[in-house]
Amino acid sequence: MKRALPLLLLMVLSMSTFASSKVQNWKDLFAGEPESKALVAEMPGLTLESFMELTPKKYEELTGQKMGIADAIRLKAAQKHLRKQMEKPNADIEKPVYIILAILGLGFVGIGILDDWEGSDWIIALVLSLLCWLPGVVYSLVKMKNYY
Amino acid sequence: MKWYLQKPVQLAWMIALLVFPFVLWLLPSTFFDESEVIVCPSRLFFDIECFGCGMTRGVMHMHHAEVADAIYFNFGSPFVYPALIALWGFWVYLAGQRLGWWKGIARKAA
Repeated sequence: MKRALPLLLLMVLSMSTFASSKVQNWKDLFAGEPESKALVAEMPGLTLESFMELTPKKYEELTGQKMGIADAIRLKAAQKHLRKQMEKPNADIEKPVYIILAILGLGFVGIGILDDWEGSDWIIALVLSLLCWLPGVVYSLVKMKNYY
Repeated sequence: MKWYLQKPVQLAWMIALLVFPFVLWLLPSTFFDESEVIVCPSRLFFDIECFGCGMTRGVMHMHHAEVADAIYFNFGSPFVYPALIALWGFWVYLAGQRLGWWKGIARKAA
């Protein structure tokens, strides 16, 4: 246990450092992952944005080769994997907590915390929540994209 | 008789049914791919793709015989597309029955 604790601490620290740093080389995110199979020779030359928007049709336009069904599935998996890796983890409150608050009609609390109670968004959410709950829920859920 | 069972309405419906697949074939297979509008509440609010997300794009690619593209957009599109064809066929059959076309064909065949 004594040996495992520093190791665990180091792991958590390295994970949080990785999460907070910007993605320098997006291909590195696939190191040793099965999704890396999708990264055929032409793909590492793409930028992150163009890789995320790549479809089998665009791949064909790019390389002149048709993408098979298995490759299309792998490409989709790779894009999903990358999207997960890039999710913003540095919000003050977790996404599920925010959603629960929104559903409970307390979306303005979530917005307020995430905005440090600055701006008018949380006031709008509060007013809309007072208007029979539902408008506040919708507003909070729509605003969620700004934070996560 | 209900208004939608009247002959002119059924004829218009039949024409629309018969023309619709050709209109889709005339449009490029990527017609719906570039759309920025998110209509799915699951994606809009939670950024999570539901089982129906990408189905329009998938079916459009299936309609152009691009199976890999269709599977890329939605894994269920190769299953939904035949079901849609069956539904389309059923509607054509119903419209034809209401117009009395099949009776005429059967009479001619006899």
